[in-house]
Amino acid sequence: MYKQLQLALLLGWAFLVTGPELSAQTEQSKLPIQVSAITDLDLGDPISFSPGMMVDAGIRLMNKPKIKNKINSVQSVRDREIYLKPFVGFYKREDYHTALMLGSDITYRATYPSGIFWDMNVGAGYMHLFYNAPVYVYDNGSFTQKKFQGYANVVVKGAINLGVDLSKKNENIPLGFYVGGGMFFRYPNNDYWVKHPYLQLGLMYVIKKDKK
Amino acid sequence: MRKWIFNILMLASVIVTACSKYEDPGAGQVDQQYFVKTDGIALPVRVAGKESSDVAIIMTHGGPGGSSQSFRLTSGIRNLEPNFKVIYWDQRGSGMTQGNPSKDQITIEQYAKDLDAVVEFTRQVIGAKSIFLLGHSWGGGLTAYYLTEDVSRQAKLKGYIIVCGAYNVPGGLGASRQWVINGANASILLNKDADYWRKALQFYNSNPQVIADNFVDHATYLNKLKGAVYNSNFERPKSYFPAFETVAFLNNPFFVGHNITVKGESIYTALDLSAELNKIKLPTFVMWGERDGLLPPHKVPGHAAGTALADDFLRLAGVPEGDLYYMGYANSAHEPMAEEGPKFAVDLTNFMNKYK
Repeated sequence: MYKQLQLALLLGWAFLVTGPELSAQTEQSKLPIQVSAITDLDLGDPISFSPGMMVDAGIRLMNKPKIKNKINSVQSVRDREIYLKPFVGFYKREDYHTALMLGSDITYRATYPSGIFWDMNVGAGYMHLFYNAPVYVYDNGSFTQKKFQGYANVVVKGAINLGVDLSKKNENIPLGFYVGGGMFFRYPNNDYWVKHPYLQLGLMYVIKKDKK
Repeated sequence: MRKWIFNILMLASVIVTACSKYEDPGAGQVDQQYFVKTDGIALPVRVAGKESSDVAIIMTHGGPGGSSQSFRLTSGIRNLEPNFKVIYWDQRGSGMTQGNPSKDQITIEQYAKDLDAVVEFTRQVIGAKSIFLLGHSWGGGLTAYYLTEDVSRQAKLKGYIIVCGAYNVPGGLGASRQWVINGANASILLNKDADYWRKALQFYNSNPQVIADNFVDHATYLNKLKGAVYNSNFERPKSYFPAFETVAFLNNPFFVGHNITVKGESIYTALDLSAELNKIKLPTFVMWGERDGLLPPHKVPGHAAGTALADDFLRLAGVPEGDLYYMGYANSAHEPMAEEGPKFAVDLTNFMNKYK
């Protein structure tokens, strides 16, 4: 947990130091919108999978492309970008709870000339957990069935993804896809953090716009 | 391109639909999860068994911090479901219970209030007309407290079943400590793992009392002597479970064990209801593994206080003569509902049929 925090601070620091110069190099604005199916893993015996979904949109904070000149004078550009990615998502654990998440990641993404990319994400947010079965509230000796009963948590998360951004080679195809995995931690539950490993598989739609 | 997107969407749909499958309880049977929310915490309650039965038995788990739903993996409890409704509930901070109760609520007083809410739920919402209460291990202490703290609660019940019950925790664990010391000495005499057992004796020399902080070490020595489970060769019925969080489930016994109190003091040092047992007037069935080393049913040689939990209960309970029963399970330690499950279920069914 402490290391994740350190990484987030490091990325923020890198942006502050290099941001103004790098912004000047950026010629296009880029907004990748991502939708992913996630599965919340429970590493019990047997391992169980609980389904969910995550949607996020990346606001690019900086890009520091690395340019190589090839022998035939064609440039090869590797994008190195930092995004602020607000996200909303959920997962459902059958007969237990459904969790809604809302928050933001900071993402470092490296995209190679082929369009293959990897990224690292750290983030935090709010989580609301709804009980997944009828809830009867006991008060003054009698019961009332109530809907949308749950409780609040904070969530911190980290993930690594690997994917392909097809728009890198051909701007007429504004799509990409990625797979990845990560961990999120919710708090508090009996005063401690509860960790959740998860896997994700996502589609990306990239909106690019020339800057004037 | 389209093929790629199609393949990705197909893979995504597989992930989204991958989840544990609900198990059909079968014709005439019910298996439904609920939450009973009381004093800010929603307690998971599972109702499983004969749909048309108005006789219910409430399972109160041990630990503290365990889960009643694990009883579904024992034939001693599972075999009750064809005839009765079985109510599995998890205590505050325990098992599959979620949320973040304040430590002020991790008390036997609050737990007794919670149990009362579950009893009322069984009566008012599930519609049971005859309700039995079973407490196992720590759950035996909690249920004994529930019945004696407010004796009017007994009118809601048809009968009480205490299984290897911790109604006197310091006395029971004192006897357990001596039970392991006796086992260690016997092993040293037989030269079986003598070095290991000498270390165990050193541990007990420096720990004159079993409390929350050293309980895990004690349980480790106890298990080595088969004091918790004597007969591990038993049938385990399969069960569907809610998609609970294993990490939380495994942490809860530590959280509750280290925090639970009675009158502001740890139950490990302060929960002794021996003097209250005469308030119990309900038909009562005392069920115990004869080889239980965790809460020994009979006097343990060398234990100065002479605690004998089953014998003491039979002597001290205020149950009218003829309504108090004892069954000792010769091939069981602390889990007779698992270790001798089929016999356990038959004995319990007979008791419930008699008093329902």
